[in-house]
Amino acid sequence: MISRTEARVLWFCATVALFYLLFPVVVVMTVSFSSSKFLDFPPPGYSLQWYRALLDEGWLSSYWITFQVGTLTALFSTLVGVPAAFALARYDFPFRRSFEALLLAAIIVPPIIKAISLYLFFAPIGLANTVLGLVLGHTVTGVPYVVINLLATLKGYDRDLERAAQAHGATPLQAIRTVTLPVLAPSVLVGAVFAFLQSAQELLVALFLLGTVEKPLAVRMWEGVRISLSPTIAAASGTLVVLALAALAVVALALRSRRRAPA
Amino acid sequence: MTGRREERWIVFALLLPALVLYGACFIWPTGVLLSRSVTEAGELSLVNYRELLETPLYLGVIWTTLRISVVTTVVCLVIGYPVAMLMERAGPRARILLLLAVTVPYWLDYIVRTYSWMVLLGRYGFVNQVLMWLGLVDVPYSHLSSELAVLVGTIQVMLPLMILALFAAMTRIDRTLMDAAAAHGASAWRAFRTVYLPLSMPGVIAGALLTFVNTVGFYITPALLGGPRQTMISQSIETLAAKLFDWPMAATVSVVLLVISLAILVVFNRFFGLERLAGGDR
Amino acid sequence: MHDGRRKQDATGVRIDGVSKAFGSRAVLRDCSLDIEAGTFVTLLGASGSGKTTLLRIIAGFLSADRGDILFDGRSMRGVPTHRRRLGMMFQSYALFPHMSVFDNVAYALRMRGDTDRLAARVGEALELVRLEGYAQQRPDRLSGGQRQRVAMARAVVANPPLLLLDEPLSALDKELREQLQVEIKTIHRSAGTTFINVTHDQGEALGMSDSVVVMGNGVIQQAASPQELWNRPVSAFVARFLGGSNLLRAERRGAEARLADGTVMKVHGPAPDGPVELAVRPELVTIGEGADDGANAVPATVRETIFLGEAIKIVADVAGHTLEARVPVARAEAARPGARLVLRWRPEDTLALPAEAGGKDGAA
Repeated sequence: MISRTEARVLWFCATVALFYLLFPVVVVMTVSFSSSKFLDFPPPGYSLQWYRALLDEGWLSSYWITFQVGTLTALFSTLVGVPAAFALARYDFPFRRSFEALLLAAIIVPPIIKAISLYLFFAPIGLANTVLGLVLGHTVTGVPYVVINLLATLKGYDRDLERAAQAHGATPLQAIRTVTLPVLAPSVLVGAVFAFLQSAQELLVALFLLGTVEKPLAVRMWEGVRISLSPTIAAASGTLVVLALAALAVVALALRSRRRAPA
Repeated sequence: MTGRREERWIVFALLLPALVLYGACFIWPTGVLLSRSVTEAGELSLVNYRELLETPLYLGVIWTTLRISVVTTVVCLVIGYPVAMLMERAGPRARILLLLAVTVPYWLDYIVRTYSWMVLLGRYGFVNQVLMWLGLVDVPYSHLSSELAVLVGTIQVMLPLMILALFAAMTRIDRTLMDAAAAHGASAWRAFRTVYLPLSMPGVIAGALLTFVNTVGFYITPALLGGPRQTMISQSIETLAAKLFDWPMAATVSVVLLVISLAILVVFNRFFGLERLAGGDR
Repeated sequence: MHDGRRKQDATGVRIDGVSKAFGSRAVLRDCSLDIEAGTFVTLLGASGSGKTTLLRIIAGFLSADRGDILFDGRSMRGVPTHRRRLGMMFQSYALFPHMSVFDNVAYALRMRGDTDRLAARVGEALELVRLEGYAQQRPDRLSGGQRQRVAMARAVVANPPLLLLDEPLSALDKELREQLQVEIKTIHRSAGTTFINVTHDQGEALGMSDSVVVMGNGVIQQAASPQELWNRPVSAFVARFLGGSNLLRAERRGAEARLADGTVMKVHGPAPDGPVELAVRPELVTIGEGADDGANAVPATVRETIFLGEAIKIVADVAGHTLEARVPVARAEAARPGARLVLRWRPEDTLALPAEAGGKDGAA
């Protein structure tokens, strides 16, 4: 199917590209375990000092804020996105294209524009510098992720499953509760994970809407990177690598159970 | 049909949360911001736009942004295409491995990825050590605050997005078509050029649009790896708003950025629509 | 099983003047039909014929714009699906992917709160479809045939008096399809309940059913036993859809009909004088001169012959038409491409049927 030379050329290109992609990640992980006081790479020895420093320097509050905001964002995005996905998948309505474009715009509009426009709007009504304000801001970007992930599954979802449930004695509500929701749950979960991740990593909206009173993780890292290149940042980065891997694992598991569903 | 009215209410109820959220937290605030750009002391005025056009600094920022975005998009395409192609053509195990290698950095915080470039490219960083060891430089100097640093960092950040968009389109290509081309006498290269490449164009266009639009509005990496001469639009908006409190000008520059982004959105929406953004299963 | 039980456990279904439109497109037009309790009825039609819509109205997934559905004389208007006491099989199997085989089958009992001897009854249902060892498997681990058997167990476990089959076999390959046809028929015979099946497969419809309802363009074209349908189609539409018949355009006058080129034949059949289509089954056509026994005999030129095993299919040009004959191998020696011979068939096998608008000549 794929000739030898072809394969060699492709593998060579891919190896170079993947080295470029992954090497920096490896560097951060390695430096975070360094025993040196500086950012030497390769490090002279290994220790957990910088992870301990995370605890000493009060990073925990940042993790907590980010966890709060991320979880609420995932929750709100799900509550708003799931019904919207049902509307898009099952009904035809005027302005449908415009609604899709709106969701697309919510992802594509640059974060700086969201940040300053929300700040301008929230400041006079007292939502600036509140967790709720930031959650609302992040939910704007989170909803499309929920919709996109669920939409793909909903389009392939066999509505005969609901019909089968009702034919065999389930009321319409029972059919949704016992069949539709469990079958769609993995896709909803994937969307929620995406919404959480984008919230946890978003910088500018967080900076403008909460940055002056609390320090979400992204804001704290940003300030750390700008002021000094202390390896504490590397340790924080290490925890984020773990977060990304954990999210990936959740998504992989969810997708595996989703693949079970008849397409 | 009976139930048409009822159906309309159901659709309305399903969309209501999204409409309220987007009305209040997206459309209205953006409108408020835009209105700041066309008012001066409470009166309608285009004075801000004149200032924008007459200030070389702003025009320079826009030019820099477009230049960096174009270069990033092209380089991502060139590097990403073979990777995506290999991913599509490789066996199932190699494919999963490659997907993993692309997805993990994709999901990793921009700040983290940029931070690692700061470590690598700094005065005493790994890159300088290697260059000195090779005898290419004598005195260590920082590679940061340069356009090259911005490009190296930005391309690395955008590359997974490009690869995944290309991969999603390539999986739609019927594998037997290449065999058919070979059976009818095409060499591997000609089969690629006449069959595979044209069929992968949707991925190329989608990937290029997504990469470009993300780079145009990018803030983190250019701000950390670039110097004053690499200031991009997002940075200048941030500076105008947060440091100079010049909200009318911040709004005006935002309009420029918004127009560029929305123009790309319109093209993307015409070609692909919402679902393509998912890029398959990411 | 026994006659006494049959009367009790089978639903008699009456379709009374049902019409249905989606937007401006009429899908069903004034359909009426009586389905006797305990029979196996198949709705046969091409896609777009309205057969699936009719089944969904019977199931209660859709409501009729006009007309009514009656179960044992009781109107089903306003009765939701889950209270219609149904079992149902689907083309896509519609097995719940997040439940085991056991839970899928048990679903039909649990939703009705009918959980007496639950495990035993699920076990019996699985035994009936020969899947005893599979109770704890997930549906995605099963083959297509096994999945449809699970669906069958789920459909019958609660002993519903009416079973609806929405093209359950059309996703399976030929061998499995024929095997499951037999199993479904067997289950119907032992359950004694009413089965309403939907299919586009003529062979399946004729093979499985007590009665076949041919549907086309939202109208019931003919409802009859398989034999009657095969031997006495009432229209060219039905003959064409059942397939196999030669159909020739002609002009009827009394007991004779004239083809376009002037050939005259003796005909039977229900169509009145005027434009008709003549249906001639290929297996009733013979080769050879023979005595003047009153048969329709026409000179033909053999275009192609196709070996079918027990017979040979001859495609021939007859008076400007294409005609198919199916003759035993031993009688077909003269049939070589290019050969000229005489094809004969009896007047009573020449059915004059009301012509279908836009119908074409030749084998259907």
